[in-house]
Amino acid sequence: MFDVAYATQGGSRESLRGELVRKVADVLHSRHADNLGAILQMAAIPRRDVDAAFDHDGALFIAVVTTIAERMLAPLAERPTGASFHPQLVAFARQATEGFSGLQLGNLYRIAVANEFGTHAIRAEFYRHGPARVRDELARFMSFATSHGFGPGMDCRRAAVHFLSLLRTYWDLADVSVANAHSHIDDDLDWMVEVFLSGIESRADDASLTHHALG
Amino acid sequence: MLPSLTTHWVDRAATAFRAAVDTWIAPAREPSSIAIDANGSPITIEAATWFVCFVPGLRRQWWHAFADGRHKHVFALRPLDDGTWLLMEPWWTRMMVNVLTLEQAIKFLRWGGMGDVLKVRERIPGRGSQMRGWANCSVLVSYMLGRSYWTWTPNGLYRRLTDEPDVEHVDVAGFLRRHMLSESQRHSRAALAWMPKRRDASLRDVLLELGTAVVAAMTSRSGIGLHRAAVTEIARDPAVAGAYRAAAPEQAVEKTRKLLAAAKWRGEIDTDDCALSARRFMAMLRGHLHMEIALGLRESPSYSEIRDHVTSVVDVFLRGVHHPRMARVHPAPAEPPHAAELPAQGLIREIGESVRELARADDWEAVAALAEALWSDYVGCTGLSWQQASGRIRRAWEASPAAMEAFPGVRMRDPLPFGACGETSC
Repeated sequence: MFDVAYATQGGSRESLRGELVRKVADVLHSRHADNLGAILQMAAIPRRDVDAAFDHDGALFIAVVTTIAERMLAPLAERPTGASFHPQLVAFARQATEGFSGLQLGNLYRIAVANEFGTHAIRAEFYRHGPARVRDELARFMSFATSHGFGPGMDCRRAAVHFLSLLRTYWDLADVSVANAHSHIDDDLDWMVEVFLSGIESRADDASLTHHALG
Repeated sequence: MLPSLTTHWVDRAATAFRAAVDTWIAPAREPSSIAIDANGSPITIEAATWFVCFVPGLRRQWWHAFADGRHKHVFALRPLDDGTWLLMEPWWTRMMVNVLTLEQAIKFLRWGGMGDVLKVRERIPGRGSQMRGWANCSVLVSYMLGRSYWTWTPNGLYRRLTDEPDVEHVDVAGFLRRHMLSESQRHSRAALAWMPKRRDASLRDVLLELGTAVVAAMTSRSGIGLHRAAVTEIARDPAVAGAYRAAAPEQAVEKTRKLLAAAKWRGEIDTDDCALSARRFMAMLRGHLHMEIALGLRESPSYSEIRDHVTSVVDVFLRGVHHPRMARVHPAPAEPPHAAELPAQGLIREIGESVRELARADDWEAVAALAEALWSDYVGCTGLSWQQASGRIRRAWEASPAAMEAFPGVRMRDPLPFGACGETSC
């Protein structure tokens, strides 16, 4: 019934979804986009469009977080070589840091934490398509590099979590004042990636870390 | 045969009769073994203070036509010792008595803020009566508070309570900010109370202990409750979230910064910016774990899980900040200070000349901060009490009158007063 209704208007459910996701993703950059009602109002999206395009409100947000994750992961699309591994990580770091420094992702996660879109299952899907997907893809990228002799010397999933955490240094859901404060973004991401890579190296002198007495 | 049978039945009847009489006139055996207080209760509980909320309706009900415009309904809630709240809300169909998280309680308090909130102390044993009759929300809340008011409307109860001398009006927004601050401070103090006790503790050991304490606190039920409350309140009242940040995460960052500053001063790590490194360490501690719990996707981790995560974080972090390749060029040391007595000079002599590599000798703020970092965090190792440490900073500051003349109008950093150190037990 739905498809017929939209097909007659020359559109499809997919195209309507794409349009709504784009509008909502844009509006999420606003400071006041902290709940679905406000978002729909700011984006001038009729409620019936959301109902028509998505099975539930959560599905709209899941589609948005999926889009953001895909954009973030774009630099990792190509399989790394020894030469490209570091620059790809830097490019990914730049994409991710830009995402974490704005309001868009923060607003989206705040809505999720505030239980705005419902059940445990929907929140789990949101997590799976957003942060978990980025982590897993990054881990896969690192794992490929490791298998070819130039990746991290530790559990890649764990390394991916550490790297993403470093990129979220200034990301605080309980603070909107730091969002868009680009002065906080590391201007030397290349150096930060170096620090991270040296951190995840397995070193023969690891034991020395335990011998720096404080006294 | 017959007489003996008769005697047997008579005896049995008499025994049964005596037992019945004993049961009737004597107190029951089990209750008599329980001590009771003057009110006949097995325990004595201090009268609690409730936030009684007189609110407009959230959904239209037929009886709203008969109630005051702002006071259509009444319920009560109060904070418990562990950061949760107890709610008592009479429904038409049931009595809702539930323990709420702070985040949930805030929703009810915000609803209360749409009407009026009174702070009322309950009375024990009270003067209410079960014979009171029709039990609507006003009657039940009045009964719960131990009052005997003959009123059937929320507004009627509101007027009666406001006539009481010790009942206070509550400014919900102000209360929430203060409450968030005090709860976050309490939470933070508990997490950061740990101090290195061993003189030979390595930086790794210190960060492991601190990290474990911080992750345990941030992923605990109360820690997650505070975080969620701050996140959900940020749009309505950023000051509530600000109170949380200042009292909880920022304290942990500052504690880590001091540890790293001291380690850098001793040459154990190589990092340009201890504040940024501390922030990175905290971000790594949060990892994905915190987000998963905040989204309600998993329970708080076990101790071994926390320890495993923190160990990995500390090792990666230390390799990163310690790696020789990562050594960056430090800013050129400042010109040696003029021979004139500067306020930081005395302190530099106390904490070591090598501090000049970290701070300019005429930068009182920086030198005093380094002294604080060194002494306040290592009281257990150095044997200095916080009183001694802050006393030395104060004496160094006071012994430099020339500095005050050298910088007229510039207010020098006033050392913390004795006992102001919130991190140690002094």
